[in-house]
Amino acid sequence: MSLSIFLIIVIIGFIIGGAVGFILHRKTDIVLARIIDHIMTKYIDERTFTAERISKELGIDEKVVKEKLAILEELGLVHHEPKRGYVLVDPLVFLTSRDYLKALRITANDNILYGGYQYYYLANPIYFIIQLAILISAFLFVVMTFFNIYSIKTTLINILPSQVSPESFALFILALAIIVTDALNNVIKILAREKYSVIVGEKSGISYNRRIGDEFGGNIPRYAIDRIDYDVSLWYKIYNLFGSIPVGNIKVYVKGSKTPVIFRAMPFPRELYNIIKSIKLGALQWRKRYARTIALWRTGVFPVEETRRRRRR
Amino acid sequence: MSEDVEFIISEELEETYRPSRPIQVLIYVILTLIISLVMYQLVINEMLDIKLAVTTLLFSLAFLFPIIIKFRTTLIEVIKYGLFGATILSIVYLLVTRVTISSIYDLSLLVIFSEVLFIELLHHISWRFRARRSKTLLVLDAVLAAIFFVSVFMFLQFLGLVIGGILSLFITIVFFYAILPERPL
Repeated sequence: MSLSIFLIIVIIGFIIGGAVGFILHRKTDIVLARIIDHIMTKYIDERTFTAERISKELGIDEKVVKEKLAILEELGLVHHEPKRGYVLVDPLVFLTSRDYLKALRITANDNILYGGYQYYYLANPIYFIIQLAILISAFLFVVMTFFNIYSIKTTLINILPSQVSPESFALFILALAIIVTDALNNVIKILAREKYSVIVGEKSGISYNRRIGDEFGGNIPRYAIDRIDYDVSLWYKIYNLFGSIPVGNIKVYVKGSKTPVIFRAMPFPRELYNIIKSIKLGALQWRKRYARTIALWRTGVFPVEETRRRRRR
Repeated sequence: MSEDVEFIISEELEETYRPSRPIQVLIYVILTLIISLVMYQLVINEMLDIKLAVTTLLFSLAFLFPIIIKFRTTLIEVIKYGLFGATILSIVYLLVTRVTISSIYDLSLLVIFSEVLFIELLHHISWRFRARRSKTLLVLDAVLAAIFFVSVFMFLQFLGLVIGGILSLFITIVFFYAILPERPL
């Protein structure tokens, strides 16, 4: 009887969760898609626009346009400046708003084609093992407490105030381990942003941070790029199968120097490789061709299956 | 002279880096079978209660799903959220029926555990909740942090008002920092 109730609860949980998932993802945001389509085709060169102009050009209420542009700003596809209006950000720029502004300032308003951080620590096996070790230790602590292995439960009863049950305390420790791991992850990301930013500008070439607070002190002008190599180690290959973002190393050989400048664990390395190659050759036709596609992918505005069907038609 | 570089971008940028869809599904099915078999063995050998085994299985499946299945379709999203809902309800059921809540301390600790598990698993399964900085989500995070602070303080009050308060505030800041929306990259 009790098992049946439990199973019914599990099934109800699945149905409620599934229904929420369905509601959140069933619909294509047609208005958002129209706005992306419009700005990515019309403003890819001009880059600056106002909500009022978009509203007039598309015949959509200005308030709705502003709401949708706020979503795009959140996702890093447009940047809002009170005086200039909205600035279109290339869809392969994964920088925070603050770093994007910094990049524009350093490159004298160049077209930033790619911007990202070297996820050297995040994609490092040692860091991965540390995270896993924290979580597994806490989980083992819970198991050992529940089953009183090595008299852990008895010890806890002696230490804790009399009203606290050892089981609840063990679950509390597990909860703390989870939030510490998550917070650690955020700290590592902030460090990566401070020290490991890399941008590729149409005219300015590759600019990168060499140390914390460097403000893109390192620069490889596009005419100085001799050769580019794209290298994905075995660990990165494994990481790319299951990790949150695909990463790889990019080696840039500068004319007159034998040792390359290595950008480690760069997000979407194949695309970065192609972008560097294209600024070296001064060939940016791909940008207009793919800006819309990448922007739609970044926003996740269409369910993927639907986009494919539409394209076939 | 300008020449066009051969530069083909997939519609789903990530797909070129990930295993193909059938392989992702195959890996997930294999892992599901392995975990189910382990749980089955533990249950028939009377080492684990069947409800605990089902909850562990559900949690493992919900946790592994976004790690292995990287493509997005409506069905995938329904399964993902469905597993999340089933896992959370089964854990709440187990906590209510299994853990002895003999005092306000126990209650506060279990509230903390349920809250952390709920929000972290939700962030794990959905980038929407992890990365969107919408007002609604920020308000939700603030409410969760307030509940978290009250619960931690209720537990740590035996350390005294000042030490307990400071420690509770510190742990709440870590919690709030952990659950704040972050950029996906």
